[in-house]
Amino acid sequence: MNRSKWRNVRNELFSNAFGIAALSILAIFTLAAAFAFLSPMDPNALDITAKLQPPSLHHLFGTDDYGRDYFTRALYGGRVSLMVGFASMILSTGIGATIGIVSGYFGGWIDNLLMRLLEVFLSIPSFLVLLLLSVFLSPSVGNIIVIIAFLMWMNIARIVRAETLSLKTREYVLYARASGQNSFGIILKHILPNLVPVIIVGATNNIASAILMESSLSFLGFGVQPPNATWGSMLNNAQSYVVNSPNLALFPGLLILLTVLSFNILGDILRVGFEPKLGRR
Amino acid sequence: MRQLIARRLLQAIPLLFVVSVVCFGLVKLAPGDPVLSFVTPNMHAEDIERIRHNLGLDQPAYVQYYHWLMECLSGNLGYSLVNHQPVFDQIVDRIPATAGLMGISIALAILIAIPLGLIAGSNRNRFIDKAINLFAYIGISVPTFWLGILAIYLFAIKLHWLPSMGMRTIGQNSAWDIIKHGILPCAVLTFGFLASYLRYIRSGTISQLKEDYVQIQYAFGSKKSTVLFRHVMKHILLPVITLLGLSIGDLVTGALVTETVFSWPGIGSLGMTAVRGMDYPVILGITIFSALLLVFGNLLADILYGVADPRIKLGEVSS
Amino acid sequence: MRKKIFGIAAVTLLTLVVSACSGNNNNGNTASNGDNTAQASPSASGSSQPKDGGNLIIAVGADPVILNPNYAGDRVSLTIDQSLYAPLFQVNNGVKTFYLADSLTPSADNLTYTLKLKSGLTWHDGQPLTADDVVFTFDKILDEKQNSFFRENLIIGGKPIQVVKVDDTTVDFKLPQVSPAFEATLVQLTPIPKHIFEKEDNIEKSTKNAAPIGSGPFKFKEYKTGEYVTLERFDNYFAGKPHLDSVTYRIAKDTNAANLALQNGEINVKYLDPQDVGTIEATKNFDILPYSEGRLAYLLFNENSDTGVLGKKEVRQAISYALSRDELIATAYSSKDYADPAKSFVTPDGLFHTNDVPSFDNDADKAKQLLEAAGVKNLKLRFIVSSGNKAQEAASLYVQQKLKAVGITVELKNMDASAYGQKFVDPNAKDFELAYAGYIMGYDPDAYSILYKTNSTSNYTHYSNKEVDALFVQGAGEADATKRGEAYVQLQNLIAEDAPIYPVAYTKTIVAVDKRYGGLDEAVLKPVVIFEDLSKIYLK
Repeated sequence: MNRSKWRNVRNELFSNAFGIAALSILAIFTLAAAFAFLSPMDPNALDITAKLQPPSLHHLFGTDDYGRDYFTRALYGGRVSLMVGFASMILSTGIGATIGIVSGYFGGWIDNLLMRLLEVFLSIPSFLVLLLLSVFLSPSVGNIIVIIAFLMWMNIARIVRAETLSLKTREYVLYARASGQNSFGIILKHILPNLVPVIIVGATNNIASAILMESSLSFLGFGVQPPNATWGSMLNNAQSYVVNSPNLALFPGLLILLTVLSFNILGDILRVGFEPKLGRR
Repeated sequence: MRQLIARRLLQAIPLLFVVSVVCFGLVKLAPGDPVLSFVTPNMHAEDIERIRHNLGLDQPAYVQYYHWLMECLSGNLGYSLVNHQPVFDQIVDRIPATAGLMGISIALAILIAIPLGLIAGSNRNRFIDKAINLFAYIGISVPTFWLGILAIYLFAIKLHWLPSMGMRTIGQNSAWDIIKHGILPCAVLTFGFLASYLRYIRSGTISQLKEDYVQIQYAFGSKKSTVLFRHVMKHILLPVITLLGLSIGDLVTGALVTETVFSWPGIGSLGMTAVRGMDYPVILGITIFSALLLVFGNLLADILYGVADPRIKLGEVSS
Repeated sequence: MRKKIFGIAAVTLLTLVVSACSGNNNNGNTASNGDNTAQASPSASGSSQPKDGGNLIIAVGADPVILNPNYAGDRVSLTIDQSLYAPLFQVNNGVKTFYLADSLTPSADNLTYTLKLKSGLTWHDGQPLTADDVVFTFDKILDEKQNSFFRENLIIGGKPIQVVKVDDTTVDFKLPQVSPAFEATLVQLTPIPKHIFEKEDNIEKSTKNAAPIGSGPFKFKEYKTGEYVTLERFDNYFAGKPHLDSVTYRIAKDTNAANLALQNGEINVKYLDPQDVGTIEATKNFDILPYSEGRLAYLLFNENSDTGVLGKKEVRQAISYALSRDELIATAYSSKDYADPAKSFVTPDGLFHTNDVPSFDNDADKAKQLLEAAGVKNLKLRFIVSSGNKAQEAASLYVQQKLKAVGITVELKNMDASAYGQKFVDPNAKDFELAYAGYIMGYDPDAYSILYKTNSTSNYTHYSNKEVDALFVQGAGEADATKRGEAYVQLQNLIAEDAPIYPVAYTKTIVAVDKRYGGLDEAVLKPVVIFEDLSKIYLK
């Protein structure tokens, strides 16, 4: 990983209007979620006298069917949504990178075994399994993160493996092996640093899919436990009131869209930045 | 070529075996006792044990798996715990609805994605490219169920142009009626597929335009549109077909959320109902069915990829 | 699978729901009443003249399990069977309406009931419906190999009843001993055609159920799984040709989607959650019809949980004090229009019901005192909720908020409807303390003994009080109505004092019917099955 690559990425990011927009959106959402407790309202306080109010200065996004402040709920919901996305990204990237490196570096039967495992995972209908698992594990945030991560590591593993295969044949790696360094050291010193770009790109895309997966799951009613909400579970509830209170459906959906969109755009910009041979977009 | 295809098909068999074990195991691990669905308040413990024995649920898991697998191979996926109907028939019943919805959506997506992708790729970094690109980004980022809700709100509730749920108006059995019901779910699905195809075709176009044959065509004075829609398209088309193979694997679960939002009576809805009702034989049947589609979809993609570009060595998993 | 209005408990208590169909029967109405052969007289209240033709679309929440009345126990199957198979007779507010039957006469010793069928009855396929079919139906229910869960109801004092054909339209039921509940049993049972099923080994699994032949106002036309069941007019219906051409039961599993479809005119009749009434009413296109199903909604205290903390009466009373019934009703049912505040475990339609019983309600200070006196600190309770059930979700959120104010932490455990159902009825479930549920037990208070007697089959609270047990035994065997009443009033007071549940409300079922349809009064709103006789409904 050399310095020019990072510079390249930075240039790519800041010279691209989409990139700047994506970064700002994510920064704002993350800060908003982190500082959600500053909101004067309790996200779970019921107020049946103030049901389904339209957006106003007092309730920026209006109130839901239990009279809870929708804006505050969206702040706290974003916290869970972002956390699920981020944590499953870390976990899935960890699993994927490890399997990819081990498989690519050691080759032979290990590679064969791991790749068959990967094929099995690819051949399991992931969303169905996701639903099934979340039915019989009690649906807590932790469980959801683990389940999503276990269904998402394959892509990164494949990319990392391919990259490792090509890195393995580089002269400095061959030299290091010849001079008797142990495999762990070589991987840590010579392979891993060069994998950082592909891993970052893969990880960024993984956050985006994790957030989408979680929101679908929550939308179908298999998400986190009430009274907590995520953007997806807010939408589940909103469908019943779409006729008279379309704002309930509009806001959480927009938030999901903007977040996922930003991560996807970011992922692509990073990829282009890390691989200058592709040239500017 | 034929040999290679045969080899890949053979390789799929152990894979399917392992997948079936995994799926069976997952469902077996699920909590809740399937026998309970046969129990009524008046039954005694002996009755319950008798039912358990009759269903073969008192045997060890591997024996149950063996019986289940043998039954599967003879086309019997077991019986629903809820309505006691054969699972196989229920799945077959739902195939047309899902296949029709997905098939048309995928076809439409490809038809729209090809010209848009070619235009975007050949006008790189111009306004039109950026616009198409943003459109594609939104397509892969938007939660389909949200899009579905918005579509229902706008076109069914506010404008009254289209129905909001199901596949048929009661009492009408015309093709047009089914089409009318299919427009909204189809549009939502198409949007999603379109986006990913579009990105694929756009980057394909960009790399094709650098190839020598394009430069030669230009040197011979061919018009840009001719080069694009005749020559570049030819080279892009086959890889696009491989996408179809991958989409087949998505057939069941891909439409699950959309089918739920629009109450479309397809396999996805069936699966959703089964999951909610813990109807394990149905869940297992659908899981196996979609795993089968996934494996053969991937296989098909590989093979088509090999046909499209003979330089690619068959045997690698396509990505 | 989102049965929103009716807690899954009501669904799980299969036979209870079924018995609820019978609703108000055997209340001193000494049978036979030939003069009560109320063939629902032509519309008096209807503003417009009935017209023929048209289709009615009724939303149902799931696929029917089985379209055979000998086996149907789920709400959807029962609803469709109601149109497909005519009953022998029905009872509403103690008055019999005869359908297939012409009369039912008990002998002087009350050991033989003679059922006269109307003459000239036919099945949908044109075959005559005779005493043979009735005898066949009862024989098959009594046949152990046929697995009908009605069998238990036909065993009285350990012996089966005997069903004997007298002539083509007369059947005698011979009881082994006097049973006042027999008519209540009979009202639930509907003849199935002998000529269709006599050669079937296993009627429940028979393929004949896929195209049922009945005797009701509408005959089977088409069933598309996951989509709809369509029935069409049966011209030879004994009570006159139905007005509508067809009735379609639209399977709408997602309540949200179904509500949208209702507003969009794609559905004409649908159960509503109280929360949704406002939205639907605003369209001005629907009659909103609330009616009582004789159901109690209550907060359940599981005394058997592993913490055992709810075994203390004072803790249960303290929790009750911490809650406000009125607020809870407003949260879960929008307004008292759809839920009457409940204090007694017996529903208002039940015999000897009184709401004048001790109640612990809306006094947070008292709650804190009781908790302190009981030495309970930092109480943590687990509340199981069937996700998607709006009343349950609302109640759980409310309870969580109110109990927090008295220092009790409530952890909500939302689970899938079927998982909830299994956990709720599992006598060994120890991992929850609270649940929100409902029951429909019917008319006679003896039915409640299975809920509150020590170690009874459906004693989900695991409540135990020797005095209560004794009173239930006394009440069941007491012939004198006054003394019997005293026993049950005392019971209601005792149980209210012990607070094994926190009774919330006697809830109403709400049905929305498109205003274009008339004849609703004549069709008679009926618990569980929505309408008793759809032949009376017409398009205005």
